[in-house]
Amino acid sequence: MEEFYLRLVLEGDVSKFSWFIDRYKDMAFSIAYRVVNNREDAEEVVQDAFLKAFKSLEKFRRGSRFSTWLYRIVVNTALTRVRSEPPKMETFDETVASDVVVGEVESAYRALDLSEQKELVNDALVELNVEDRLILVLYYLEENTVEEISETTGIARENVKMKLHRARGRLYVIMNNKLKSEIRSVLR
Amino acid sequence: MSETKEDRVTREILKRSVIDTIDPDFTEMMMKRIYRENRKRRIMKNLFVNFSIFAIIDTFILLAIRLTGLSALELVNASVSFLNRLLGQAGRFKEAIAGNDLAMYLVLSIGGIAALLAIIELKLNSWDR
Repeated sequence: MEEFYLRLVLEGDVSKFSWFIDRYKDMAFSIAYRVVNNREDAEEVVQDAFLKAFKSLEKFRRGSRFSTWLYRIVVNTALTRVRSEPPKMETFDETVASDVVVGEVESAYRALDLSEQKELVNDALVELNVEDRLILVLYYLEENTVEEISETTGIARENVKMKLHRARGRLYVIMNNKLKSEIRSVLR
Repeated sequence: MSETKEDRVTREILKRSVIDTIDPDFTEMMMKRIYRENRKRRIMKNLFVNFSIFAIIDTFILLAIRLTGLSALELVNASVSFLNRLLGQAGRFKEAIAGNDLAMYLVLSIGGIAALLAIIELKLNSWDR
């Protein structure tokens, strides 16, 4: 199907490009949002990415997945946008990250109502660095494989596994800290 | 990579974080940008073709001036009358290619070459006299 629409667009039927936009806009938006952390910027990133994809459609290698190629463009466009901002300082203690038990966080998390859960996860994601956020979103939400993440982000395959593990640890550390401070404020 | 319990829990937790989807009018708005971009590309491509063809025609004209020693005005008069004759004879062909820019330019280029040959012939005749 993808190949069919691709051929039509390349043959000059520009209107058929809407098929690609409809199919991938939400996923592209989700990725862009996780990088730029802002709805308006994310929409602009997605627009620019689709435009870049359209302009260089002839360079797309047939046989590889269009989604992976597009996500790479989205990631690069989003990273270019955030690079002008000052980098966030990382204050994680790796030993603490490995000590946090996922089960503990999970049970405390389940005690929250749905809106609190959503707020907690979003706040924790915002505190992660861009790369960690991106890898977590690609792997857990977009269900990309390690190979696809490597292709999208340009990070070596082995490093993706390691970074994924660390990012997950960091996410739980942040969630754990937030849950603890929440409990403390309730007990006070 | 096989899925562990931590992976399952993390996926479930992260699914809660899913933000609202993009603006529902996004596709329509994006397609307007795509159409604009496509139009811009077409215009640029046409400009490139036009400039290339004009450059070729200009080269022939300059060559003609150089080789024949005619003035630009004499050259234009000779070319116009020759092209008129050529296009008049090929009236049907002209109608067939109407609307096709590239074909028109090709004909003009051929006409340009023919004009050059005609001018050279004129010059040679004038030398004979």
